[in-house]
Amino acid sequence: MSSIIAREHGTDMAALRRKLAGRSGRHYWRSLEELADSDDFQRLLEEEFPRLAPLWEGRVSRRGLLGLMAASLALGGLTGCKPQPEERIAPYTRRPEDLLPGRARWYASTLPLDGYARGVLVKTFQGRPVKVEGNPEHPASLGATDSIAQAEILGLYDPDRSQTIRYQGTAGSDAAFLEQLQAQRRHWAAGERRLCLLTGPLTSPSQHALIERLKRLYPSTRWYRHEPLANGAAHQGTRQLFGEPREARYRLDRARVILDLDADMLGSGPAKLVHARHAMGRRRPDREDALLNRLYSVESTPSITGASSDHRLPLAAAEVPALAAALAARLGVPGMADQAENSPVDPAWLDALADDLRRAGAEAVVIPGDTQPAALHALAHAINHHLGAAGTSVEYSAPVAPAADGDLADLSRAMGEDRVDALLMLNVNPVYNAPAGLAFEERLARVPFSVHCGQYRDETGRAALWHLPAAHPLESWDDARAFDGTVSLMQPTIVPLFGGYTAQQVLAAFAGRYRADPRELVREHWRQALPGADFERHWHSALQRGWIDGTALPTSLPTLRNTPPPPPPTDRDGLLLQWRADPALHDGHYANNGWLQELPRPLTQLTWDGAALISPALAEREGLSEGQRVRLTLAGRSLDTPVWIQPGQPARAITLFLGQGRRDAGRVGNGVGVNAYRLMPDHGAFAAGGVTLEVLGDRAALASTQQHHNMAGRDLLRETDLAHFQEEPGFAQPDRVEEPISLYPEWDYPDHAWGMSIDLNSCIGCNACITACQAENNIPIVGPEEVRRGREMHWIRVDRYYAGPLDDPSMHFQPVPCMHCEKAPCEYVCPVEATQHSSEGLNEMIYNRCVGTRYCSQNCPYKVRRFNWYHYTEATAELATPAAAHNPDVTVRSRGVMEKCTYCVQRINQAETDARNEDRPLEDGELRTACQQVCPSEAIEFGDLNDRHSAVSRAKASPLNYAMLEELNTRPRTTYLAGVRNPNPAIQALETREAPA
Amino acid sequence: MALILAFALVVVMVALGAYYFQSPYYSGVDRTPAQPVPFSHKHHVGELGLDCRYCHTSVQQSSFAGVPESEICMTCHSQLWTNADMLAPVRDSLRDDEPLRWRRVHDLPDYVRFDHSAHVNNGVPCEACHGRVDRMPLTTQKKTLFMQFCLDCHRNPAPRLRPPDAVFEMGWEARRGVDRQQLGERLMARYHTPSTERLTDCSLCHQ
Repeated sequence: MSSIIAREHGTDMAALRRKLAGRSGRHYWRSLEELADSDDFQRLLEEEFPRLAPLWEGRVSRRGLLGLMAASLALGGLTGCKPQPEERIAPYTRRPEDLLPGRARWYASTLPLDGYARGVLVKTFQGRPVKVEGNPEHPASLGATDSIAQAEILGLYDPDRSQTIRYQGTAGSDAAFLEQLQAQRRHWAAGERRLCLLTGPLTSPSQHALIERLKRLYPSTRWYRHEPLANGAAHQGTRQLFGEPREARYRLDRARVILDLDADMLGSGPAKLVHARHAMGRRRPDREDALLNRLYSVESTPSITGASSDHRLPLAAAEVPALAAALAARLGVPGMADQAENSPVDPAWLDALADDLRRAGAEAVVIPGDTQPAALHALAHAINHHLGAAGTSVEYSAPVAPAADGDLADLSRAMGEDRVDALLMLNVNPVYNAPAGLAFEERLARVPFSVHCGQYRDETGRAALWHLPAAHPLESWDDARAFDGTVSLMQPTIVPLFGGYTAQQVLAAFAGRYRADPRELVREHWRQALPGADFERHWHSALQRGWIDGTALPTSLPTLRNTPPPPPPTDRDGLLLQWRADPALHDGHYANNGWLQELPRPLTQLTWDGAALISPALAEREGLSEGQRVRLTLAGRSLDTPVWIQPGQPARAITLFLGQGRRDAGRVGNGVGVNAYRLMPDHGAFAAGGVTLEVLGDRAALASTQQHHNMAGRDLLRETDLAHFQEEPGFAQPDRVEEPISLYPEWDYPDHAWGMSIDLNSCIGCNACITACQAENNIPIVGPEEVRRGREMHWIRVDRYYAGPLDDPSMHFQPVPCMHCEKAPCEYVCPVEATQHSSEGLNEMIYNRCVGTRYCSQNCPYKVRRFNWYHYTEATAELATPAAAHNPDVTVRSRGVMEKCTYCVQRINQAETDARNEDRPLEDGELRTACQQVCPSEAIEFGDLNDRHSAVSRAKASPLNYAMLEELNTRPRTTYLAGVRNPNPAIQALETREAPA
Repeated sequence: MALILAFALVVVMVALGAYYFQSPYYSGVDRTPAQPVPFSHKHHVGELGLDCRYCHTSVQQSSFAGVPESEICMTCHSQLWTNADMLAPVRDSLRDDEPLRWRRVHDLPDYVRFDHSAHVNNGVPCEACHGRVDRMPLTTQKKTLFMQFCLDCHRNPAPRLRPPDAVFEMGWEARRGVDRQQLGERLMARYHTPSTERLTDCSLCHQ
């Protein structure tokens, strides 16, 4: 919020609490400022484009202004009067088979995240990848993707990617590298020197086979795995319980009661897309066959999972194991009886939860978080086992990723003892993301022969002796396993733009095979691994599908060998520091991606610079306001960071996001935020006590979008609980007898009438739709300064609302694209008819007519129009998207032009043309908008309202259907399905009992 | 007096402007850009009778009609005129795998979407926009390709529509005595041509 209103004093939390307590009924608020309703906030609401006035610096006289206008016309306007510049057409010399110029081709491929595969389909135009979609057949995608997968297109064309081999920082050649490698290999083979490998969390069978080969060739070789965002606790916990490490796979399609223990199961982890589809797929209370589930979250940092839950409990990370133990005791898990009294939360709440889990039995599931210690994993799976859920709503397989010889801490120790003579670092960046205590950078200098291979010449690439450019996943032949073990194949959609090498090529070179063909290296592995004579056919069909059938790891019911260990003792006072992956930048690898930097993070709505999350209670105690800079000190190391007051944050927990503060990420990511890895304790725990907070004198201007496009507290979001819905199904709809009349003419839609329905029950607020829309529609990046002025260009925004008390509010999301009103206020005010009503019901925006009066935006009650204040798309603009990443079907807008959601009109036109060319009607579901296609929880329906049987027509017939601001009689084409939560009546009773106090 | 002069000046400016924007200099009508190979549609289409689709292979499936690959030229010219100097750039192109770089004759602004397949599959003949290429020794732009030109047809497609087998024909005319408008309207029903409202939606071409 500080983005717009500069506040000098701390927020008066006590006053806010009084205000909230004095309210009756349901009230939604978006930020503390809105709640305070200060004069500053009122001023903000009154301005269409806040913070515009301060930009108007010089005083221009009337004559001067006329002169400027004349000059603009002469210099700018007349450029449109010359004939078009000559264009050339360069046809192929020989056209690749089946390639039609002007038509998109799709390839099935894989994008790994943390080593785990996500199956994707890549859209290419004449060999140029322009868009990523989920692969509907792939078990980890089911047709959906996330923001990071969407943004890979921008990453591919990033001009800051590494382009040459470097030796000690200067350009080197592959011949010189291979010569040195040859000499090294002789020493390794003779056993005189030791080679060590450091990789990310890889699951690739072919890479693993090559690593095994290296270990056979040079027996002293050790392989270390560096997982910046995990600590191996899941495998350790299952080993404690079952005697062997197991990988849990949650079947949320079978689960009725789900308890998420600090896992953020919808927003992180390799199965998040599947979780979202399955968990949210059972939240359709308006359907006849509804099998509603109930979702509980206990979380240390507000996440999209908690926001989507029926019950959310904020609890500092260190106390979660104690809660699980107290819960286990209540459920009668053997060996836990003495933990019952040790609950860190209200025992009545826990009793109600235990009853609910017990009732659900095999249809209940407890999901422990990867940032939690092993003890919690053991406890959670003991509960699952005890409830009978093992085998139904949770299944167990062998670990998906092969076991390495050690982790980063082990490697660092070996380096410190000079036991590493040569080190290959493959697609990792430990100089940036190793905890400071490991002293990785200093120790790396002691390794005589260090090689880094990565897409960027990053912090590690600069510290290593040799740096090799790596190929991007969209340029590579590779493979990876999905969360269930399914082997997914990666095929290149373009030749490496900057001559990068694949991991297999580098590993093969270390094994003595120089300049090997990357395709052959992957094929060779599978020729041996896939039995049967018919390899070629098998391989081809696997490439075409994107994955190899029947490679999911088998599941089995493990036997319980031990009782879970008691939870580690924790103190219940003092500040606690917690680390979480940045929802957009992940572990920091994506820091140079402008789409991700500018993506408003769920809940905080912060873009670009990050901040430490603190609770309102802590802010009150320390007198802090948003953007205030503080110094956090832990074990002698300190970090200066601005703070963000996050409602729902556990009182004593401070959360830092990992992935920011890059030194050598590239022009976009350098110096954005601070590097929270520096404060992490050596052992890789994601929470630590004993932190001190010191308030510094200055403030930071954070770029949060939570206050932008504010609609001044009108009744926009509608939601209720199940009991109320059953009592009054039409609660969201106005009690109106007749349609209000309109002075404007009725429209006639002879062909199609496109419409959209957004289900607030399913939306998890992951923001994937924002990035998908940005990729599809050539939406520019504007940079932090412009975001602070409220000028971000995203066509769809996801509003986040809080309701209820400051310390533990409920949270709600509402995606807002253009409503495509039937009686659109924007259409009537455009002086040049640049916005029009189409015969299919779209509000069209005609860029080449627009003169930028911005009347339309002023008159839009939904604030969904975006204006190009500068030439953001010009090639010389600081953050311009490379032209190659643009969708050729969408006009690239220039300065001074208004733009907004078009319902993906290019997709509508293409689908209609295709159907007409084939002389058939357009089928429902054939045409999908970018936001609809990416959505993991299928919250968006789009289709023809003229077809009474289309999915969107059926959605709009639901009693939950409502239109935003319908009292304005704009008759929006985009409508919402009101949210219905399914709370536990026993817990609801507790809350109402507490409320008056 | 000054007022009259000012008025006259405005009139002259408007007239000059109108003249400029209608002039071939601005519209490109009758422009015949020099090409790397002086390809003659007159010879290939008019005299030899090659079908448009032999070279413009993607015209029925894609927005882009396709400019022939060097390989297509060489299907015949590896047998005919094998040593003609005029064809040296084509032979070099295939040998060196270096594309020919033709000058675009029909160029729409970048903010316009035009889909060849949507037109030729629905009765709009090549000739409607490209003119009688069978009479062009060198390819020449014959129509203004202004929005007005597009709209003339989008507002009333009937008189220009042809039966499917005549779309690629040059100089086709309806049989004597057939009412062109009526024939066009019958064809519209057959092609399921969208309503005029749809055909004049801004976003149909500006997306």
